[in-house]
Amino acid sequence: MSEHREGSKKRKHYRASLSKEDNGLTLPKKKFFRQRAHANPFSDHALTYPSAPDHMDWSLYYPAYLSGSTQPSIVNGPNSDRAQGTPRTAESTKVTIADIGCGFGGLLFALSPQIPDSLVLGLEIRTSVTEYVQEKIKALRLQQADSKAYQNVACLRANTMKFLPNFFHKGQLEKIFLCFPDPHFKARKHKARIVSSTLNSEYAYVMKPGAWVYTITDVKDLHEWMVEHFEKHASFERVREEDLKADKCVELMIRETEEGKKVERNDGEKLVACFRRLEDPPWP
Amino acid sequence: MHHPFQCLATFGVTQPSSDEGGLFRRNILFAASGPQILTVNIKTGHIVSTWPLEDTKEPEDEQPGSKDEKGMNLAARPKIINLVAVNDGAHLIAVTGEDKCIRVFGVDAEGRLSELSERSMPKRPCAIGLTPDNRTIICGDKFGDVYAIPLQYEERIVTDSVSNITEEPKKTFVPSASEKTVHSARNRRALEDQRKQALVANAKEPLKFEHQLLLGHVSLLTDLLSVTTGSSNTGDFRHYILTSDRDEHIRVSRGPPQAHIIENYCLGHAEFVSKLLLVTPDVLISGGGDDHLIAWDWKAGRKLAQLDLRDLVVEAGLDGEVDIAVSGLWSIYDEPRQRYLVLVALEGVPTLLTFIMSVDNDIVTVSGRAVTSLPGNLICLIVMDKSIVVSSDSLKQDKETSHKERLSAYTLDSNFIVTGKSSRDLGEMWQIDPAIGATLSETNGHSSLEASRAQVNETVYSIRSLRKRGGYGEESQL
Ligand SMILES: C[S@@+](CC[C@H](N)C(=O)[O-])C[C@H]1O[C@@H](n2cnc3c(N)ncnc32)[C@H](O)[C@@H]1O
Repeated sequence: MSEHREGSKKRKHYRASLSKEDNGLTLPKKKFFRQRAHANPFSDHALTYPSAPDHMDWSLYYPAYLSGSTQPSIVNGPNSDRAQGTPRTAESTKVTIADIGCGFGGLLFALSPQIPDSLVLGLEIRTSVTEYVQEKIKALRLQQADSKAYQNVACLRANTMKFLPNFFHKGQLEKIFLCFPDPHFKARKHKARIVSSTLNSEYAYVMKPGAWVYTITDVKDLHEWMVEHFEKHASFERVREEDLKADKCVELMIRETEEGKKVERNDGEKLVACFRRLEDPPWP
Repeated sequence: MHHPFQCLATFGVTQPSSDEGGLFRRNILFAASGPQILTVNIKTGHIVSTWPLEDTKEPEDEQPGSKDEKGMNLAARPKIINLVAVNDGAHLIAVTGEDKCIRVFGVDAEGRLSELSERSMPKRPCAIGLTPDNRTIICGDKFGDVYAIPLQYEERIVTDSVSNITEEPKKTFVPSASEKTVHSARNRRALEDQRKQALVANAKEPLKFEHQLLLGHVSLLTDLLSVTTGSSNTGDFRHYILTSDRDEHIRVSRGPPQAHIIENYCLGHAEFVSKLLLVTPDVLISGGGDDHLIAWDWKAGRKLAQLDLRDLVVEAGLDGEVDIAVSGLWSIYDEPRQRYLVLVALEGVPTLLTFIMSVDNDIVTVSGRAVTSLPGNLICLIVMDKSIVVSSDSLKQDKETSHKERLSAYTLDSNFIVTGKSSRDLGEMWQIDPAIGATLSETNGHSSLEASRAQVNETVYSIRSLRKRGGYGEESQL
């Protein structure tokens, strides 16, 4: 306990010093942001979340893309040069890509330059892990202030198992990543898994028809679990192998997630499965 | 003290009109006191049946000892936490808390109950609805899951679910991870545990009755409505399931077989949502731990109006600081004046609050409000035409007589006209109904379970505990 206190004191001190040194250009060190591996998705965390998606001020997260009002507006800001003359409409300045349980954010930083015209959001339940990603985004944006890189990624703390519809409108997302989710091996903890028949309905709700869910894990049982629950869910179909090969995000997910790198070092297997959101059928 | 009546139910007013029994059934009131259900004929005032069956002994002959014994028996039985009279006019559903059971009773023309089935659910059922054909129970539980189970029970071991979304498959044990899986020490331990637990998990009995998982929230489910719109004649018939949870959500899903499709959310509450009420087919009212109710165009997920409760509580002269927790919502259509009355119970408050509303397409206007003092905390009520039967929990110390006021009846003053905005002017809206009141005396006099104040509180007051008490869950274990 006291060790924990000591650690958190050090961390606080370190984090306070972060922004002062080098004008905030230094990348944060992971070791000061580590936190126990599992957070309970069922308990009442001291979370902040909007009561509804319209109440979310995304301009705090993507200042280069959005002006201060909660209503997204056309941006002629720092990124207009990269958008190659096509002005951004309100429609295009919404988050369309979500990395659920993004951890230390490896995938976010890899996705950012690859899909510069999309807003990418990492959602993470652990406070200090979220802070690490936020600090890293801040530092990278400053480091590359000229190129305007990393303006399209952000991270916030959220329990996605409870509050996904508070952040996203119906049909808003084009891609959801579920990378190396906590396996929750014990049968009585399966309810804590981020994939379940009932949660899949919530993913379907925030996804646009045609959008993809990307999953990857090194735990065979969890892979089978995810495949089974998405395949059985009438709102999804599995994406065929050949379509996976043509998708650049699949490759990024395999190579760039922190967990993916760990598995690589261990020479472990990475099990990938993607699912397509189907159009809702007519009412019976 | 005599246990108060914590649940009341009646058959809906839409009975087959040609059926004489239908008319009769409208006079039947079901009232649950602790573990017991009484059926009362509201016209004659007689108790028609009790469940579970009482001792055959006449109450007069009772020795103090035998009464204790009976009390003990009742005390050991699970308390009823929900009572739903099925609109087919022939069934009653009772939910008991401690044993997580859904019991279905047949109701004969006299109102007598016969227990047909008893099904123990995996988690405590919190809310009950029925499909439009009245043949399937829709049941939401404490873990946020919503199941469909047939009203008529048939024993069978279900291995295959017919749902579009299925529960976890029952498999023989295969280790979840290979040697090469990346493991934290924690995960390694979990894997070891898993090996040990495999046997235990398999030993857990599957439910021995047909059931289908329809949808789920990762939250405590608080209320559920099964709603239909349109008609099959016009080809626009639709069935929806509306669910509310402790995390401020109201979800609108399609009914089975498409319950996996979420149509919408109604988001705007800042505290838990505990009660849902459909005022018109288009307008939903919700209440919970906030200082106001919200009226919704629920199909569009759009807020139409906010009905202030805190103001009304203050105007009623109640403690302005009271912890507001909506424990009941009911509505009455006042046809001659084409207005709706929305009746509100706040947990632990001895006052009935009434909003007078008009609904014109999607414009909801509150034209008046009223407060009515009750003999005790308002627990629940049922609407019988223009009258209401109200159950309250007397906090008076006088044990001899306080139970005689457990149920009381009020009638709408038909001359009541909204005169002003202030609730004080409206205090006369509900007047004691002496006729129905008199018929309730046998029921009020019934010797129910002798319970302590603490036991009663546990059964009757559960809504305020939904409020979140700050976030210390960060480091807690699963
Ligand atoms: C094993 S890590 C994987 C991190 C990252 N996706 C990667 O592949 O490197 C799983 C992450 O999911 C997060 N998580 C678990 N449940 C969550 C929830 N309900 N909402 C948001 N994040 C969650 C955990 O805190 C953890 O950081």
